[in-house]
Amino acid sequence: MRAARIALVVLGGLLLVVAAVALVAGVPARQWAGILLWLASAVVLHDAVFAPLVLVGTRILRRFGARTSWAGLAVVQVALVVGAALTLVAFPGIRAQALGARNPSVLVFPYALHLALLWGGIAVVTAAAVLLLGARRRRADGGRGA
Amino acid sequence: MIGSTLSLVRTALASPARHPRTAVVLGRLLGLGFLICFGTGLFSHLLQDPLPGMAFLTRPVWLYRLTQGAHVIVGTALIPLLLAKLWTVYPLLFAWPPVRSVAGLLERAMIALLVAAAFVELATGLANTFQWYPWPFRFRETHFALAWAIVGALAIHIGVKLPVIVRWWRRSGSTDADGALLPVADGEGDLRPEPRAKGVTGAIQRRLERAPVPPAAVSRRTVLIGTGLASAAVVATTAGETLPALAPLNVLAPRALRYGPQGLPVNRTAAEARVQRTALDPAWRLVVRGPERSVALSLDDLRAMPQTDAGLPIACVEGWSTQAAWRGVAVRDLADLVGARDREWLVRSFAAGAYSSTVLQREFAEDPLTLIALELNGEVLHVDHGYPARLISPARPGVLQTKWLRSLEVR
Repeated sequence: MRAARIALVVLGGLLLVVAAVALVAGVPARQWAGILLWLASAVVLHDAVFAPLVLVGTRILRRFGARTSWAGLAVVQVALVVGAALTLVAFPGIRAQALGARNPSVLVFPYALHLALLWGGIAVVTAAAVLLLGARRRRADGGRGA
Repeated sequence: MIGSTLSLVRTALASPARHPRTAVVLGRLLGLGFLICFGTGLFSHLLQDPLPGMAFLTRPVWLYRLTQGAHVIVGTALIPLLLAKLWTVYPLLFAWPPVRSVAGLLERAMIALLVAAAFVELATGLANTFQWYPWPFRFRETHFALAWAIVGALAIHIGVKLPVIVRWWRRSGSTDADGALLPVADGEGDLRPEPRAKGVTGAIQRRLERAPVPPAAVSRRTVLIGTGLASAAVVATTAGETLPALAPLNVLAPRALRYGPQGLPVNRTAAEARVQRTALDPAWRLVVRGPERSVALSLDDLRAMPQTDAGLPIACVEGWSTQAAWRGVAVRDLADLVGARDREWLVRSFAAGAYSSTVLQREFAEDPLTLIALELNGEVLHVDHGYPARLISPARPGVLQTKWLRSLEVR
């Protein structure tokens, strides 16, 4: 284990040297500040904006879950995660389309519309799943009551 | 004061799914994905800038279609996976004291580099497929350098965390008889429950802990199923630009399989390249320059030569690809005309720009399917596809399949 750990750290160090060489050789020095800004912004955006929003959202959702059903909450959370991922992937398409495509065979879909339809589909499936779970639970409760 | 505030933040972040086992399950997929992207990316880079003495496979003809398709598909799938992995370990950001040793400082610096580089790599890679470049630096060179930084920082991260990774690698050692995750003992990783605090901090902590928490199994399954479905969803809605089986689900990719002139997408049109007039000029000639003699061939000369058919995909670095039927003169036959077989060629286009001259390596020049294409899918080549003549060869990136040819010169 110790040898493997040392080997991995040494290998990583060597790969970082290659990264530095590739950066120096390939990217003009005046663009390095821009790269650094993007790297730092990515971390700040995630750690200080995105993750806290997820925390607040989760704590609000959990109160609903505690009052209704944890399984129903899980379905809603999965739906939100899938929708958020699709939104992230669709965003460059929406933005690039607003700026104008280079030629008619790039950006071939109406991305904003497709994203809206996907969210609509997710909402319908989620609602159906939550209702189904609720009905099943009421049946199970009714069965115990009888 | 800071220490107790951070302890409360960690308490508020507590979730049964935030556990080293979850980090290992997500982390090994993430690591594998980044290695696939690194390997396929390096392959694509070397095809465009070979090291001296390097030769490439020309079969299977769909090799580059496979590797570059995988590069973009896996990279897209990594977006939800990276966010889920960071969600799992997010409480560790609020560790206090932030570092305990020089080694600890290096470890955190490495994680910061890894996270930052991974985000920027995935974001710029995705935006590049949409031809949207909102950053103030070169894309390809930066993407290349960050790729090395990611695998380097990843190797160090794995080296540092190896005991924790080994401890939680197997399901059998991670869960009890009921399938619940085992508590994290000392030395088995972080993400342990917050110790009891006293005084005001303790009171706030107890209040935070009174908030409802879903059952452990539900919480963990929500994270894993949510991440899996999110990755599946982003792949399903984009991978159809290269995988025919998923084409009906393609609603978010920048390209569609057969959307473009003659059923093939175009990266750079004749109008963008400003070549329309030259392309349609009847005085156009293809100059083939050998070591001892040269020929200048008109379109009719080329059509009079033996024609070869080849079913080859156009596979773009941006991840889309489409199979097509090409017809034209084999480069080998042209090489015979000037007595220059088994040589490397410099291929020049009359369009100006980044790829206006490319090197056709020996193994591609000698391949019987490498053509000076005059027809595409049964029609005369569309001007956006390189009329009067373009290069097409197996297992190479689309940017090297030079359009609007001017000359082939032996190197």
